[in-house]
Amino acid sequence: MSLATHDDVGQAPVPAAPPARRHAARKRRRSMGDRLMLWLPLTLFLLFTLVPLYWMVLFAFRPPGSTALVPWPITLENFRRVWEGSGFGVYFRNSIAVAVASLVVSTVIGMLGGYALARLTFRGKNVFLVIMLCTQFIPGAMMLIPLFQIFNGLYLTNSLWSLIIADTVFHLPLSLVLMAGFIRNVPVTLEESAQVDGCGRIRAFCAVVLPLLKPGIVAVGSFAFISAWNNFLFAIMFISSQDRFTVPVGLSYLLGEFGSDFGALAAGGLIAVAPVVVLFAYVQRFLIQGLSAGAVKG
Amino acid sequence: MTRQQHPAEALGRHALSRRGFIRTAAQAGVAMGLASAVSACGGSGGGSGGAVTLQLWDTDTRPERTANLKKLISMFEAKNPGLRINYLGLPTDQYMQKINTAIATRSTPDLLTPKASDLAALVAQNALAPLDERLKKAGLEPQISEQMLKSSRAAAPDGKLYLTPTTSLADVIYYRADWFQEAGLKPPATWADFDAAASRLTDASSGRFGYTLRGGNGFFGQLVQMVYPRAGVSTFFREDGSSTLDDPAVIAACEKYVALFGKQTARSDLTADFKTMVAQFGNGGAAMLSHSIGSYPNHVAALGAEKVGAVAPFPGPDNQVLTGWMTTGFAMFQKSEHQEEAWKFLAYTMEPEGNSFWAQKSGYLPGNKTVAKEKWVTENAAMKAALDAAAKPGVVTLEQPYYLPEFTAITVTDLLPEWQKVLQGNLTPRDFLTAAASALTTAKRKYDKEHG
Repeated sequence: MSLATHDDVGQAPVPAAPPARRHAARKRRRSMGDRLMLWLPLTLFLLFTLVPLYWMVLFAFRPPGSTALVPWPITLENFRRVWEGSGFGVYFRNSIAVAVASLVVSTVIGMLGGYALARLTFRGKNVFLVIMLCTQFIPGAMMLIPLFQIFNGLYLTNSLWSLIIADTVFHLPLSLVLMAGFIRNVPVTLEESAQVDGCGRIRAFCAVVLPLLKPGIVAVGSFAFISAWNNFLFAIMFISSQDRFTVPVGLSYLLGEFGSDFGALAAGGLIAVAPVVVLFAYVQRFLIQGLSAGAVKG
Repeated sequence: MTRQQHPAEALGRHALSRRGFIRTAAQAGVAMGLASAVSACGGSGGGSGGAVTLQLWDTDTRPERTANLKKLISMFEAKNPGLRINYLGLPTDQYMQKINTAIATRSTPDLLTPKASDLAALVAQNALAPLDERLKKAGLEPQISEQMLKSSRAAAPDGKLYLTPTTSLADVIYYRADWFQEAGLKPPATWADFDAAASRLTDASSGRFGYTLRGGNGFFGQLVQMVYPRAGVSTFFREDGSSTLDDPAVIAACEKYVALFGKQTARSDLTADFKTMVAQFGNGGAAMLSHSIGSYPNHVAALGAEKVGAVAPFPGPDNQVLTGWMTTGFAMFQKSEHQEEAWKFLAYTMEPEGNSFWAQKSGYLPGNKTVAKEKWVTENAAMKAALDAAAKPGVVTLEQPYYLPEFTAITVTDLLPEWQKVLQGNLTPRDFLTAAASALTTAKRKYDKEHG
């Protein structure tokens, strides 16, 4: 007895390609289509993101006046001019101080507050969460005058503390919500076990929860750092001394009314993005882990 | 059935009570606040032994200019022991936001370098101190150029003096003195001379044109410079608040100006901005160029002083109209706690020593009449042409309405594509000017209505 195969049914009267080859061709066509669907948007996306970056690298490393499309011969003249002449050394130091302090304070308060939100039950918790989320919808520009008056009353204007506090406060709601999500993902039974073994709540948190929160801390800390690093508005508004400005303000000085020094602007731009890129390169593993943990499992 | 215990309840002795948590958090907050306040007080205090320190905010932070302004400040400080000035340069595109915040929070500095176009907004907020009385009392008024005083007052909506008439720009027409000489032409003195020279010196086959026309960014200044003096129209608005841009004489002059495009100018002038125009003149691509005295150093650097000539805009049918007289100076804030000291600095910028230094370094016309006679001014062909023209009896200065909040948006952004259509022959100068006049008339009437 012979079994009619699927390929026997409806066999074409004309010689046709063997079924396996037809299948392979279909697969090839489909995979080419799939590849196109994948590579075309990716290529366009990369063009949009990498061309400006290449432009920046080109102008930063190319000698002034050169029209070459590759940064050769390489010169560091633009960096020297920006670092020494335009005071980027000072701006960079200030930015680092503000961003690191904001990172530390945001993360520590975020952890403590997030723990309370995740583990404790108290009246008005949900309302508190909603209010915190609502603060994220208020643009910073709207808060400038009240914030300025508060800082002025506290003698904090023209001090880097004003930037640290403002950046931290503006970032804190997000830190709290994110951190609460991460802490909720750590089984409470682990803490209970530690407490059964004699740990207090703080020790249990430090010994058991904290090591498991590493991706969350990295995610929250990175956001806080980047947010403080890029903040231009508070820096220009609360600071009134050239030697206390931050990198974003320094960059805006390079855009002149009667023309811009593109080499210096590109070098300044690279200096501004360098810490963020380095930070991302280092923490991206934790960040993806942390974000997916918070977003999917939360 | 038993109620499921919360872990915190189950481990009662280790749980952090709600009250305890709030108390600890509040204590930590207060401690942080105090620490911040204390450290900030420690950091920003620093009395300077009885010396008065003025704060100066600068809105134009070109590096060379900043260095010169700092030098001017140090000259002032050397002459006035006990007075110090803290300089703060503000980013060009963000300074008004900072100034507005400072006004709203009553934390303005003492001194400012406002642009003429910012005066209306600052005066409307009652932020700047009027200087008329102080100028009179100090006996400085007779020493200052009347033209500049008039321009300074015209920049404010209430006609008072807020901006010191320290320096000014003025429009001139630059020409290639060597080419004129080679062609046996005299420096142009009339509009007819200008037209004839533009035709004569054009040799399109060798890429040499009689004139370079600004078709790109910033075109409006050149348009006004080349059209209003030729039309002999000396005001921007009529008494009823309507714009004179649709005046028949202005339209006729504009048609002549547009007629230069593509014949006596390169067709690439369609998008020419300041840099392109200056490069065109400096590279030997054009025989004449309209611009302010501010670009004279660029032309001299490119060609050498002997090849660069300058003349003021030529007389019109009935009068001579001067354009581009825009005062640049300093102002002081109404809320400054050191008004007398701040005025000392303003006065210094108008007195011979400060004025001479600042005007020379800026490349602008000095406001002080004595300084205007100094050698560096009389040897500068562009400055000399502007000052000689201003000294003629009966000349009138056309004041542009920088005080209109929409003026910059209309003339810089809105009209540019329409102007390029005119140059390409897709829109007539009449239609262009009628639409432009309508936009400016609306802006002016709105402004007049709001300001009584």
